Parts: sequence; C-alpha cells; structure tokens
Amino acid sequence: MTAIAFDNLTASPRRLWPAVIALGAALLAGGLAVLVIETQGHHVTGMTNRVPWGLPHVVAYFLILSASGALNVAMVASVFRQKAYDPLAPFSALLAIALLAGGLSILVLDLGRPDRLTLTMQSPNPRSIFAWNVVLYTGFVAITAAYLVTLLDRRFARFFGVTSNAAFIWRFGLTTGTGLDLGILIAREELNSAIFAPMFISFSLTFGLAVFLLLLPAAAWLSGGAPDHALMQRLGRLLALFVGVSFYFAAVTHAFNLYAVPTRSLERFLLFEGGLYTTLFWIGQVLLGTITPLLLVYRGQPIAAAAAVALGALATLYLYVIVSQAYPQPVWPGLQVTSAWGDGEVASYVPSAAEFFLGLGGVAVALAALLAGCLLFRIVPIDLARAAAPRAALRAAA
Amino acid sequence: MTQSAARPGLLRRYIAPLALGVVALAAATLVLRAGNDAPALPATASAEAQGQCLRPAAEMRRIHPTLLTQERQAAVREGMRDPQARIERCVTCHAVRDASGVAVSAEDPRHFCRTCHDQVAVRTDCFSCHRSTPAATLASGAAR
Amino acid sequence: MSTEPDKGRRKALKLALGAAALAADSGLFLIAAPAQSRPAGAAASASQRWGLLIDVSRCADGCTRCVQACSAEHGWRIGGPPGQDPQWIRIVSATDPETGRNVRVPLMCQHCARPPCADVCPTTATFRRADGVVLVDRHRCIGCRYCVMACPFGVRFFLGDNVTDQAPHSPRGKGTAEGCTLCVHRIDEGRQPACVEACPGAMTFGDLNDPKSPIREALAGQGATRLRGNLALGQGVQYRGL
Repeated sequence: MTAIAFDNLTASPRRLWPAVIALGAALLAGGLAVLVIETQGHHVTGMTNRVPWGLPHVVAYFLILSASGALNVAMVASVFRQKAYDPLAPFSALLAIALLAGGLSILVLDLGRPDRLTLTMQSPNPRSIFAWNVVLYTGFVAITAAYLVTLLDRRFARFFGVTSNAAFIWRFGLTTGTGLDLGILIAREELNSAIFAPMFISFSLTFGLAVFLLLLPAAAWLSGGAPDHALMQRLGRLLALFVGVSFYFAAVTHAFNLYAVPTRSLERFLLFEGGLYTTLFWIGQVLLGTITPLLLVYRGQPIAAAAAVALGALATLYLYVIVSQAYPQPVWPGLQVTSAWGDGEVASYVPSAAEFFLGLGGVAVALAALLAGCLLFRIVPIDLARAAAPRAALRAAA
Repeated sequence: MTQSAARPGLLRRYIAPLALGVVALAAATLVLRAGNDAPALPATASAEAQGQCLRPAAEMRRIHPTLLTQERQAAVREGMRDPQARIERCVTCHAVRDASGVAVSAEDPRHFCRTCHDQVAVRTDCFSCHRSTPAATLASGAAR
Repeated sequence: MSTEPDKGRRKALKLALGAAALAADSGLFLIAAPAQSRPAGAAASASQRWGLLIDVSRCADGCTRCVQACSAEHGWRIGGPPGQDPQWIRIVSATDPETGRNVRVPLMCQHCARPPCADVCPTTATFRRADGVVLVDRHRCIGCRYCVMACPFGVRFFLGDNVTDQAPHSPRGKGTAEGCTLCVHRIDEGRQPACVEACPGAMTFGDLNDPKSPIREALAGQGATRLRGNLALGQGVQYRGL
C-alpha cells in the first residue's frame, strides 16, 4: 500500500509574492479599521442602535459557517472512510481552523470593549448562546488541530479515531450554536425559530465546500499545479446536492413566512417591496446562490459554481442579519406608529468603509493562516505541492 | 540520535544563559530602584478633607483596587450603596486644580490618579465611564 | 492592624439586615417601614418588585417632560439622527388606522421579569437585580450588542461615541450597552425616578409587592396591559389606555 506523501507547498515566487502583498495590504487595512473603530467609537460605522450588527457580522458568520463546512471533506475521508479523499484531509482541517480564526477575529475586534474579553469571560452566562459559542469555537479549533496532528504525525496516529469522531460531532454542535445565535431571538420575526439550527448546518455544508473548492485550486495554482479533475467534478456534484438542500430549507421557510399571518408583511417586504433587500434575495440568494451553481456544475465547472455559491452565501447571510434588524419589530400590532427614533419604519443601514475593511481583514486573516500553514507544514498532497515533479515520476517513486 | 560529545548540552546552551539573564535583570532593577520610594503624591486633599478618606494613605495605596472592586460589586449588582465609598466623593476630595481653579480631568496627567498610575504604568479603566472631576464643574447644567 | 477590607463587618451588617427584613415580613413589627425605602446600605431583595404604570390617556399632546427629565438626569442627548444616539425614553405616537384614535406612549426599558437581554448577555453584564430592575454592569460589558439585538422593544442601546461630562450618579462610557435604569440611584434612596417626578400625572411608580403602594392601588381598579404580552416576559412597566 502506498502511503500518501504530503509536502510543504512550494509556491513559485512570481505567484506567491503578489498574494503575500495583497494579504498584507488587506490585513493592514483591517488593522487600521479596527483602530479607527476602537478609538472613535462605533458611530463611525454604519451600525446604529436600530441596526447594531452589520457587514462585519455577515462576513464573520460566513467564515464561521464555512469553517465547519470546510471540515466536511476531511470528515468524508476520515469518518466515512472514503479513501479517495484522504490526500485532502489535512488541507481541509487546516482550512477549517483558518476560516474559524478569521471569523472569530472579526467578531472579537468588532466588540465595543475587546480589551475586556478575557477578563469578563471569567463570569460567563450559562444561559447565553454567545457564551457557549466561545466554548464551541475554541473547542473546535483545539479538536480539529488535534485531529490534524494525528494525520500528520505518525506517533499520534492512534488518536486518529477519537479525534476525527470528536471533530465530526463537535462541528455539528458549533453550527447548531451559530444557528441558534439568531434563532433564539424571540424579538425578531424573521429569526425566531429553531429551524435555524438545521438550516445553518445545511448552509455550512454548502458554504464550506464552496470555499474549499475555491481555495484548493488556489493553493495548487501557487505551486503551478492543479487538483485532480475527476475529484473536482465529484466534489462539484456534492456541492450541487448541498445547494439543493439549502434551497429546500430557504424555500420552505420563506413560503411558510409568507403563508403565516404574523410574518406575512415582513416576507412581502423581503420578497417584493424591499428594494436592495429584494434584489439581494432574487439576484443574490436565488440566482447566484442557487440556480447558477447548479447550472455550472451541470456544465462541469465546479470552481465557477463555488464562486457563485460564495457570493450567494454573503447575500443570504446579509438578508438574515440585516433585514431582521431593519424591519420594525411588531410591538404595536394593528397600529401605525411614528417617532423621532424611527419606530414603525424600516431602518436604513449603509455599511461604512471601516466595516468593509474589517470584514476584509478577517478574510485576510483566514487566508494568511491557510497560506502560512501550507508553506510551513506538510499539509498539501505531493502532487499539488510541487508541480515541477511530473506525475509519472511520482507514481514510480511511490 | 546521539549528541556529539563536543556540543554542549541543552542546559549550557539555553537554560544557563537564560537564567543568567533573568538574574542580571533582577539585579539591575534592584540597583536602579534603590532609593526610589512610591511617587510623592501632590497634597490635593483640602484641609477639611484630611483624614476623611476610607483608609490611611499608605493602606489606601495598597488596597484601593480591592476596595473599588468590592464596592462596585456591592453597589451595582446588589444595590448596597455606601455613600462614603462613592467615586464621586474620591474625585471631589482629591481634585487637582489648574491655574484657573478648574479641576483637571483624567485626560490630564496632573489628575490625582494619573500621577501614580502613569508612574507604575497601570492603565485605569474607571474614567472611561465615571466622571473624573467634581460634580460642581458639570458643564451641561444637569441636575445636581 | 487590619490590612483587609471590612469583609467581616459587611457580612455581619448583611446578616443583621436580612434578619430584620425577615422579622418585618413576618409581621413582628406593627409599624411597617415605607415600602419604597429600604434601610440605607441594605441590598436589594426580592421582597420588593419595582413597577411603573403609565396611563397614556393622560399623556398630554406635545408633553415631553419625562424625556427631558431623563436626559437631564443621565446626560444623554435628545434629538440626534433617528436610530443613532441612545434614547433611554422616547415617545412613540401610535394611531389606530381604523378609528383614527391616537395615543402617545412613553417607551423605555420594560424591566422584564424574564428579560431576553439578560438571557443572551455572554458575560452576565446585563442582569436583573433582585428587586426587578434590569441593569447593565458596565464593568463587565464587552459591547457585543447581542442585548440590543435581543430586546423586543428596541430600548437597549450601545454607546458608540466618546462620552465626557458624565453625571456623577450615571456613569456612561463608550463601548458599553445601556438603557433605562429605573433611576436605581434614586429609588435606592427612597425617591422616585426622574421621569415619574417630572410627569404631571400619567406615571405611577411603586412596589408591586406592596398592596398599599400607589401603583397597586392604581392597578386594583382597572387592569393594565404589557407590550407584546404574547411573549410572556412579565414586564414591570405596564400601560393603561393603549
């Protein structure tokens, strides 16, 4: 039996340096954005007291959901014993850790008082999903890192079974917690439902695989190689399946909201009368996020499909996070209300540059962590790590 | 994997120099601090206020973080308010006034708390929320 | 020489007062202390439950005395762009489209018995004091704004701006959450909240646990409603005339 060989990613300098410079610029911009927000206060952002969570949270949720989903390829290999995916398991695990680090960095740096986080988490609230998320996120990083170690280091291979199974179970807990972050908000009509737990699990599978299908070829491109075509097609079809399941959840929940009297006006706003939000739904979530990827996979273009899914994902999360805040809460059923505060009106939310760069910085953290891991550790399978070595010679050597 | 006989062991290569460095730093600190006591505090408490602090000065210097933490726990979370222990009372007695007689805020390095805290490089968070000057200088004209 | 703060003394005081409260509760004392004041320095306890009754039919057109009083008491700014600055209390104008009837409703933190904001706060910064007041312990708040997301009434606010010139009894700082405190600094001294004091007669404040308090007497006649009653939050703030 040939053992799979992994190696450090040997990137061609011509391709690596522009990537490093771009990531560095994005990190710098993100750092500056954090500095401005923390010294001046959040009033420099578009996040107001009507819309307290904004674009940074949308990007953070995208990264966190993608993190648990990106681990999927490794889980298919290790828990479901599909050997064809074994070469990609370490990359998948590293990607999951990197994405979660990026998402967490956005959430932590967006806090009003991030300097206090370690101090005040000494008095966590056991009833708070947010507090549980801290445990779930850090636990995910720890367990996935342990699983990665069992893959890379033969001395720890005996822990492979327990760590892979633990990672599999934990990742469902993490995504459930992330979904319930929004689902337990009884105040918000769009959100108040336990369906967010399974729906976000479905989203995480979709978004995570899409990000995987974008970044694996990207890593290979840096070294001048390309992933196996047949494998990419298989994963593309899996992505199409996940897109279908996610669409099922979205379609059922939106149809239900339209049918049920209490949520009807909100749903009408979202689907037909919401201006930007309506556009984001039909063009972003439906066209780009659902129909286009299915067509592209059918035509054998999984990477383009993944890109469309990623864009649709951002639109989807934007709708859940922003519309639930902007649309007025049903405090005064049957009455028309006005106030100097804007009660009864749809609040306006315009993301500011600081928020955009904060989100971009978080993405850069994830990509930089991934790149560093691939360069420093033997994560990438050898046929992607070194394109210079011809395939035939590698097979002969094995 | 055997170590070559000529190469010094781990102890001599890393641990001993590190230990030596730590000892040297400690010695240097002691030497530099010799003769330095706690920074001299400006005589800011008014004559009437002398002796009305919760504790004598030397004790207060040591204990005030604990006092503050306990007092805020009691006041905020349990509603047990001790009028003698309000921060408002502290900043009123210990107000440092500038040339025109206006009390300086915590932004100013002459502020009572800052004279010590700047020296020992311990950042205080209190005045991001609490008022750092006596209430009589309220500019907004708010009640009381 | 004691180098430790007076933990022992404070504990003894707590015990003594607790015993006294128990004794008073059991009817040993014939003359009850006025329900609104508890002994100075005593802890808030569940034997009191503060409530506010607002009769909106008595809210005069154009009257904003409660808003002005709260703003002056705590130092927050009225009249910024909608949805931006904290507005601890605001007046909402509600019209029934079928009958044309209009009411003006002062809206502030409802001080729920089962507050969603306290449920979701990751650090227990938002908490419900034993006597029913929902407060933010700004020492613990990390500014995540989850409570602002969770509040069913939109009466939770996040300070996104540098604050100076704070009122000494109302510390406020950038990066923390805040909302109506029911003027705990006043009610702990036996006084009324600033809005109630300024109101010409629409607001009644008192101890819901005390049958002789003004608020219980006001409630005894006609009932009152709670906003979003279907959520079963058990607010301390109730309205009449909606």
